Amino acid sequence: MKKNMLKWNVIALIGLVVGFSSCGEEAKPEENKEKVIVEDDVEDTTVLDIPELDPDMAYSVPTPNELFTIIKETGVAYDASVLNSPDNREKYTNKKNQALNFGVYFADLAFASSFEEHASILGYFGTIKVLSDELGISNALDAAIYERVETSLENEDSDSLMFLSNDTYFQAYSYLEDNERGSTLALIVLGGWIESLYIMTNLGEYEEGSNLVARIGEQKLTVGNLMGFMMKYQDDADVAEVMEELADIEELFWSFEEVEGDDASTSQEGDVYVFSGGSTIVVSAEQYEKLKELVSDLRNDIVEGEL
Amino acid sequence: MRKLFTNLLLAALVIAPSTLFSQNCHGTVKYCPNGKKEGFTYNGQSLSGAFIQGDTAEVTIIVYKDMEYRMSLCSPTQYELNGKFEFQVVEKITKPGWKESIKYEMVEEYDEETGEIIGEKKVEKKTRRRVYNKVDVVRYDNKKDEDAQEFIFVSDKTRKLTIKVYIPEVPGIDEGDGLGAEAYACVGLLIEHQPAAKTGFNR
Repeated sequence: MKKNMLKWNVIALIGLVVGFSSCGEEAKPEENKEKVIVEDDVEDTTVLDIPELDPDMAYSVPTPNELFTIIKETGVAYDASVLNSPDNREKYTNKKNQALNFGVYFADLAFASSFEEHASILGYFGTIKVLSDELGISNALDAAIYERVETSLENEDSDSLMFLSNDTYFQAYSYLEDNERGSTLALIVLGGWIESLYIMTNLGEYEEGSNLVARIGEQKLTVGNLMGFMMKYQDDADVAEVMEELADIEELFWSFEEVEGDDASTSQEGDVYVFSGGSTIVVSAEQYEKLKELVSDLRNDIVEGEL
Repeated sequence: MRKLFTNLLLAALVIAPSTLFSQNCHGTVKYCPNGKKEGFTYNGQSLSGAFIQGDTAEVTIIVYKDMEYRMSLCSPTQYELNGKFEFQVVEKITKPGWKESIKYEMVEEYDEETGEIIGEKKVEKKTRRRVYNKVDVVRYDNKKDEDAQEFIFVSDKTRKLTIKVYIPEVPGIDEGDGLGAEAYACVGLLIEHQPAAKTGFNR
């Protein structure tokens, strides 16, 4: 009998059967469970859009590097005052706090790198290097990374700095996977995401329809993937604890309304496909303020080493 | 003692190949041909894994508005698989609809002539509720694109997409008995990104 042992990294994918028969260029529904019935007594209600997480699915979470590349395009200005000071590193004395704040500092590094804030970059690389020693993952990182960063800074080579920042994250990520340390990885990913949200919600006030608010609302999609990713490691007490701390933020995101737009369509411009249509996530002023408050509380617990 | 050692060794020989092999597939994606020359950067949502031919895997990713993505598959361990991967990009889209429910109520029954209450009867009451169903929409299928092994796209909105990958069965590759390392292929799903080119006038 053929034995199915599949792995997308640390994630087992078992027995998935998929039909590969649909059209490529035209978007077409695979299944349609809609049922329209005309009867008396009409009530109009919306079912909350809470995703069913599939334990056999691999969930990926975008890195802070990618997110801040997008955030920069919204026109917001860099603000170093919202970042976690490297001086706080000494507060992190256990593995949970070290892993969470490794993620926090990585998000800070990604923010500084995206905005080419060279003065901050070296400090964050240095802090990440020390934390990686404490987490026992320093072997994963390029021994010469610090020198390469210094060279790039001297040459004011921003592309190279972004590459080094991205590569450092990848090296740490791969090393933790290779060494079956998924729970540490889950804490790093969560720390990075919370810090990214904290930075975003502190870059501007609520403005209906603004690019920044739209970007923050879109994190509703990411929170589902984040929880799907962390679910695999929730047997670890530290992961379970931070997932519980995240619950209020997760539930708030589910309350963000999704407004239907044009029908889904796929077109082609040269070699590039263009996906259009579908829903847009809308955030109210009250939801924005509540999110800002919840994220700030959790983030401050993390950076103060109190979680 | 000697027998115990022999048994442990045998057990290790049976278990080790699959365990070691799955671990060795970490980082496979780094060996996939990349789009660096075209300006693409490695995306952290890329994945590596160990698969048996004929298997299907799914991964959910987030793609941002105003970002251009390149997606490709490779197997540095089983060259015969390269060029033969099948993959689809699927999005769950919300569609509004109605959901019917039926409940029964007891109501008073009247005499048609006198109008007096003569008892109770059970009546059917139908209600309908507005619901929003998720349906799968296939955004891209490489079988409809001459089995292309790389795919470049942009999106007008930030989206959650599911990539469904089928690992083809290729004649000539030794599948062994399903336990040996030769039965597996290390497969990388490489995702790369770069800011999308802006069109139109800018001030």
